[in-house]
Amino acid sequence: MTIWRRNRSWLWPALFIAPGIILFGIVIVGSSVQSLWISFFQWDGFDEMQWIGLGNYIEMLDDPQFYISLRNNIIWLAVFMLAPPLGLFFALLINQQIRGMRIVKSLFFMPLVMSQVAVGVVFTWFYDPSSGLLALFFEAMGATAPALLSDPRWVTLAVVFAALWPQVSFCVILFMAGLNNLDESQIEAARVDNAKGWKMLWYVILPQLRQVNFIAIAVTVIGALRSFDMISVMTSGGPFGSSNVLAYQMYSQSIQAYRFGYGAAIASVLFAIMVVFISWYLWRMLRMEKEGA
Amino acid sequence: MSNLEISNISKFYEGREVLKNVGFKSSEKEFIVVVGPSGCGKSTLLKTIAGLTSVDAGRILIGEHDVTRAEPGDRDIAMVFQSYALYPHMTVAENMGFGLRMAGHPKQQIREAVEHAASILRITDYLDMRPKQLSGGQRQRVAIGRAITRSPAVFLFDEPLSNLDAALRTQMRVEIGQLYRRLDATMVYVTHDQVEAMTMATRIVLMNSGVIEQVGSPIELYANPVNRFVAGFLGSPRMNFIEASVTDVNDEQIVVALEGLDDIRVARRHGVGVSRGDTVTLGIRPEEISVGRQRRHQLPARVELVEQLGREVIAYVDTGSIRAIESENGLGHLTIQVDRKSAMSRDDDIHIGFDAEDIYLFNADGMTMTPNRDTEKSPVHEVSEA
Repeated sequence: MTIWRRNRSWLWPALFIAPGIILFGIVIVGSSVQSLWISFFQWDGFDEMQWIGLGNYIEMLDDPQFYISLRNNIIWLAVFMLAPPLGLFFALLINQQIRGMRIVKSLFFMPLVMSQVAVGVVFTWFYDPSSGLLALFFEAMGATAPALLSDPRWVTLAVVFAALWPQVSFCVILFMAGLNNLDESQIEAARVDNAKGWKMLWYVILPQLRQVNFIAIAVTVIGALRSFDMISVMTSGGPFGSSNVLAYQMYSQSIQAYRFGYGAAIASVLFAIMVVFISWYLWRMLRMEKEGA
Repeated sequence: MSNLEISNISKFYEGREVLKNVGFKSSEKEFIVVVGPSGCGKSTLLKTIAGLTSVDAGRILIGEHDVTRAEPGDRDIAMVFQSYALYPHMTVAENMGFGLRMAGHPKQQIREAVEHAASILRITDYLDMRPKQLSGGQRQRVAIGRAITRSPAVFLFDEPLSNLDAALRTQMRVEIGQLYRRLDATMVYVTHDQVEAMTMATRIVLMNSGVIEQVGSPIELYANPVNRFVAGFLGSPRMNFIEASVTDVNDEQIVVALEGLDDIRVARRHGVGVSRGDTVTLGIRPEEISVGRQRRHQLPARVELVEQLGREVIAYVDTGSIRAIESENGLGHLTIQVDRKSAMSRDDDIHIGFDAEDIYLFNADGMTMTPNRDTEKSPVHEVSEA
């Protein structure tokens, strides 16, 4: 009893944190380490695992598909960076006291409620060169619609723009919440100080949205890097692997080609890239908390 | 330059008229304190002067310009907010210079204005700090500094001291008063604190539920309230009100009766309508009631509670059949304020007394029925901190 009493100041917190730590340890840390371990083997998932050291990584260096996937991931990242500013733009637009604005706001919320798979299917039909909405536009203008999803030059951009839609509405929601929490009296003070329009936005509103802005960017970066479902639904990485990204390549190598070792090696590289961004995220987060204290 | 004129302002908010035909005028440098209970519309009035709230009717003139529809930044005003409303991401100097920067003044000029304001407020050492690093009192100085830097014609203060502790509040009160004497500008200062109103104002605008009850110097409002609301609002402890009935009336006097007392003959305000049998409210300030038998009207009382404030003593006494209405403690006790040396303790049986010339009478509508007193000679005591 006395041991309990003496130590309960740390025992209680430890007890409450334990389930989370254990779960995180097994599901995240354990499987990451195991995945890294598998990446040093040649393995089809059934037979004996065969140690080949860095063999999978060396193969990756000579794999043109790996570079295409990496390039596509960078395209995803670049285009996704439009989501936070667009989100802010729409949030400012709909953050007004006008009749019926609630309905408009809920419409912006819709793509977020829909599953990524549904969004993918909708956009596949939208891009359909024979009967899709895009084809109808082109026909009306007297032109022939390009087959975006079967053209290696356009396919990645077409998929990214489809994925951008829910990402933008996610940022809209974030910024709308941020705009609701603005300090009213600071805005009033700025009005008295003669700050109007852009100056008001730049000097008074945006600094208050710094936290939200940071979260929007961080979530968007991670969303771009782990893109998978849209590619799976819309192109399966095709045509000829031209819309593949690392996450999907990892999946198709492991599950479809039975090359678990190589898939695990790709996963490890993707993880390394993610770690850079996540470290930046955590570093900024801790610094902000420090400033806030 | 410091001309401020507000005429017939009305403001509706969600179908309710929060400002009803409000107006006052100040043609020279003045310290106007707008005071009233919470929800009386005083903050709304200030925001309409600032231009942060639009008006539904009426006109606002600042300087020689009609600014009724002008943007806040174009009105030649500066405002100090209750929450200070400093920009947290800017340094103190940037906060103070922001208005001039927005107006496109050159950097050198902004720096001089900021340094000048900072030296007046003794915050030069904090210029490179951020608001978060400052205490409440320091932040308040910065907020005032931000207003000074713009050297406006009119300063607007929205309950600037209510977030400070009592000691700091008294100190800042004095400093704002000194600042006013130093600057060539009119100040409009909103507060719910009647002590701030009495001590700082050159003129008080007393508001209640959207209308101005009375405008005048602190001593005028204190000595000659136009109605029962004003009489009850100013003064701490507040005026005692007792219900009484009129037993006789002539051109010069109103005679009222209170149970157990001689007829009280009170001077009648010229032209006020009153007739025998009317129920009126008799008002007397706590400091006009004295302990002992030296006054004209006397009655026995039992001490129920004694508050020793050091400088004075406030006692709540039970006078049997004579009950105070809306009394401070809700028990119908009369409040009296006497010298600190008077030895008094709970359950003492004492005699209290007052003179008829210290009495105010208010009719059923609350209007004052007694004539104005000479504010020069009126023995008004100091108002104590609430």
